[in-house]
Amino acid sequence: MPAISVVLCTHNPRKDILARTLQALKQQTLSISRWELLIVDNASSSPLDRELNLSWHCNARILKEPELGANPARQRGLRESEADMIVLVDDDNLLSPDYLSRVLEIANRWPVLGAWGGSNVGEFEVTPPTWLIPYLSILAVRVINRPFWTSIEGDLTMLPFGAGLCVRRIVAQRYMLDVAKNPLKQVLGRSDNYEISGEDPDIASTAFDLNLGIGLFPELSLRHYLSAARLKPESLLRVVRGNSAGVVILNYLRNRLDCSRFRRGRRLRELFKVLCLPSFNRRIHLARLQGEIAAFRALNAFISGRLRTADEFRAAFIDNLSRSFF
Amino acid sequence: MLSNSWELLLIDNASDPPVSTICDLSWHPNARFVDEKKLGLTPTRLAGIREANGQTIVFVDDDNVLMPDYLQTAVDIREAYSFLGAWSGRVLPEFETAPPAWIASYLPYLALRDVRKSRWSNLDNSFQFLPTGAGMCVNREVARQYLEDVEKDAVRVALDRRGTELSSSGDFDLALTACDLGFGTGVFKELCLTHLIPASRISSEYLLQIVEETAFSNALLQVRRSPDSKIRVSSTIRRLLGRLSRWLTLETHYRRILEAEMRGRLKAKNVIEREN
Repeated sequence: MPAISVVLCTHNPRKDILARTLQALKQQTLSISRWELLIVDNASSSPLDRELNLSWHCNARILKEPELGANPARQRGLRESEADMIVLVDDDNLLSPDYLSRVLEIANRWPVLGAWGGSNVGEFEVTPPTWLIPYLSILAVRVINRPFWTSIEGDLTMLPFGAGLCVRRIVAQRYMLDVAKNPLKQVLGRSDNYEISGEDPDIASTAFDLNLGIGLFPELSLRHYLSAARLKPESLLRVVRGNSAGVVILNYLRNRLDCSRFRRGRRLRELFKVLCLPSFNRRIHLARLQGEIAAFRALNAFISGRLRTADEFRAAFIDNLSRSFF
Repeated sequence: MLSNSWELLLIDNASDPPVSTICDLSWHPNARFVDEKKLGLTPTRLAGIREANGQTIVFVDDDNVLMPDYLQTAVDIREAYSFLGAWSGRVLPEFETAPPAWIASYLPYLALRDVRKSRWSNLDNSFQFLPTGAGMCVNREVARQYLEDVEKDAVRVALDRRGTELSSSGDFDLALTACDLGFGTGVFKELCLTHLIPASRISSEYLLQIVEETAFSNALLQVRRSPDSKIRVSSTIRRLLGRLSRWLTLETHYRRILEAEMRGRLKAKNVIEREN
């Protein structure tokens, strides 16, 4: 049995970047016999199995997941994986050659950790504008200088990102059971017309439920390719809205949502503060507020029983985005 | 745990009469008295570290009653979590006389702690889950580093309880040395001790003094660990207005605690300004 399952979910990928992602996997120092490769083709308009040549890997499969969305695609990949360690790789993640072998080292050295990640270095198609630099972590770009590990839940910024996320099988299994039972967990995860994210911190936080910890290690490193399109303000604001909505739902799921933030007076005060910011920061924070409030409203409707399924929740969220702040 | 697999050091901090005259350690094959003339918790701890031979050092106060499995559990934790440098557990109170209801507001300051879920980490910003001094277990490497650091730095010695001074940031200081060395810290529900609280300590004057000292030394510790941080103290007018509004709106004990904390921070600010 392989020691690692690499799960790569993709939807209409950019061919040149996917080729580089696969090239980086091909160059892994860990022997190919010790890991399997699962590529989840998430309803791409031209099926990937005709285009990709995976003959270099003796244990690679392409799975077709017709239901569009980051969440169903990931579920599919996790369900079909076999190894005790699962590494989630996006179609724009270029792993360092020693990534997988380091993952195994950490798995052996740290039996008390359930999920971990490392440094995600940005590789930009075009030079990012200066206003973007403080917000790079929105795009899952972050450099880790010293190892961090903790079993204390609460600080979302300490969680590993989904790009290059390493999870133990027991954590993934628990996560899949939880998602199947809870429609709110199915809501987390982007799709074509819908932007709530949060499935990455959700799976990483599941480690805490099993009394395991999470970690960030500088020796794990990947390059995250960011196309020019992803650096456009509209695309960024979409990501911000989706992230902040995801954080509200996740905080509710983890019993730490501070509802007082959403009272009318507090909201007014926050809006006033945001309006005083310089222009781009203002747009970012407005998008954050918009995402948070739309998610909070949908959440209230869900808790009171007016919404029952994930689909209803998504529709309500999209509807709420166009409503005013008050 | 068998008494030949651990040693006992009883540090006598200038007691009169000497503890060795009133206390018999002959039941333990490897026990001795150590005299430390310099008054204060930190000098006493340092004397203990200098003399200790064990791989793990467990600090026990003279009012701490360890559960029978404490030392064994401490060693088990060291083996299972070899990446930790300092760890402790539950500290439950045993009051000499039944305490009044208002004591509840002060309990966090009495170094009491119940642990429902064991936690560990190498983050140095989560004070809430740092091990506290009562029953703290420290690995030898961390203890030696702490000894070396403190001998170089006089402010650190001042952090701790001196004679009648009651603050306990020295505990945090010791625990955070673990993080400096790349180790982590933890609190474990399996480790448990009882802290005996005499009737004389249940006076609000005494407790407020603890609160003030703790705020004072926490503020000093914060500045020492991150020199850029500032101690936040509001202006005189704001303080007066705040006092009035607290007097009108808050319950007495809660208000007194807040005010004692503010006094402590103000004192720390003055100390630091004088030093610069």
